[in-house]
Amino acid sequence: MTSSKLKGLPTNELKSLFESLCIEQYNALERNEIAAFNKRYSKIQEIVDELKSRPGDQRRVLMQLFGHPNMQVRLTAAKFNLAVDYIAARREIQDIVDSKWFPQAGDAGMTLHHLDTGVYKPT
Amino acid sequence: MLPKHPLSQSGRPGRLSARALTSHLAGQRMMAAFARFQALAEKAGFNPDQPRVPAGNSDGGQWTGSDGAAGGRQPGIGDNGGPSLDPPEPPKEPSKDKISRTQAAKALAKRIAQRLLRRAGPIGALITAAEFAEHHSAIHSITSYQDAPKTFAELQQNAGKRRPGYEDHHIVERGAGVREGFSRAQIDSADNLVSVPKYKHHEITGWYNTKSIDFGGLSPREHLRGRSWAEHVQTGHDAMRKFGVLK
Repeated sequence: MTSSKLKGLPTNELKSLFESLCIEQYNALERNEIAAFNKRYSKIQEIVDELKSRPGDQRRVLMQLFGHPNMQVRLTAAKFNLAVDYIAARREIQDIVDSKWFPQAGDAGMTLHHLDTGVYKPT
Repeated sequence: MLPKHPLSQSGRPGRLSARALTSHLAGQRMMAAFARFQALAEKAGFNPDQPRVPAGNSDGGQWTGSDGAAGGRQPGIGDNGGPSLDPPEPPKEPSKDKISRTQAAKALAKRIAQRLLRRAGPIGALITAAEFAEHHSAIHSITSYQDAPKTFAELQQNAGKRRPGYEDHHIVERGAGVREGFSRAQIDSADNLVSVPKYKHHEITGWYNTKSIDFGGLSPREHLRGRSWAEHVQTGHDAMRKFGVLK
């Protein structure tokens, strides 16, 4: 989907599209299909960029996905909200670490490490 | 191998509630059943990769030797010992099926890990044991996935031993040697090689190769490009810790 098409979509539809792509990423990881995962990363980034550009920075709608039954949806929504609500997003990432549901728990642990060591500075 | 859960941290079972004790015993029985199942499979010389006679033959599906002869097969009436007159069925997307089976086995490995965390009661144990039996071909990988994190020395001591359910993991990836100009001796040194549970190996390798917001959309592997040996090693150790392999 092109950026111009994303502009025409309501915010809630963007959230649903984000959710679907994250679930596809989860399945791709389980099947060791790395190219399929990475292909969806670019699409997710475009959705997040579009949400960020909307009045009031609409990335916060992704916080509605915190606690989602799919761990990849939770993790991606939390990572992309660190710049919006750091405390809530960090708490969600910590919950994923504590769940020990891998590989997302491992990825989440690395993100906290990168935040603490300054490797990753959310924008 | 399988984690051992102490009866209680204080070592005094009298402090446990009846429910906790029941749950604990069920968990112990489940793990004992896994161990018996694994021992039986090993004793029988079970090899899930052993070839089978193709479908369409009279003994289709039976284990076969490397020469294609089914073990213990006796020729029947009209059997001239030659190949079947019926053309064998084409393979049904074997690679795709294998991926699906691996995906299902990984999902089960995670469910078992979660049930062990929750100390699932008798019903949980029964369900898990039934599921476990369905994935007998992945038994070693599912079992090794339940390993508790180990010390670096423990991970090192089994490297190169080709144990079922485990794979050797290069802390600084072999591919990095070529890209970054690290020597072959560094890459293959004992300090850079550990033995890790197979599915954990997949998870760590997957993390290295997937794009991440942490690195502005680059994968960790891309992010490490051009960085020092020490940085590669540090990232490798951090990843093993966060993915529950290294203490």
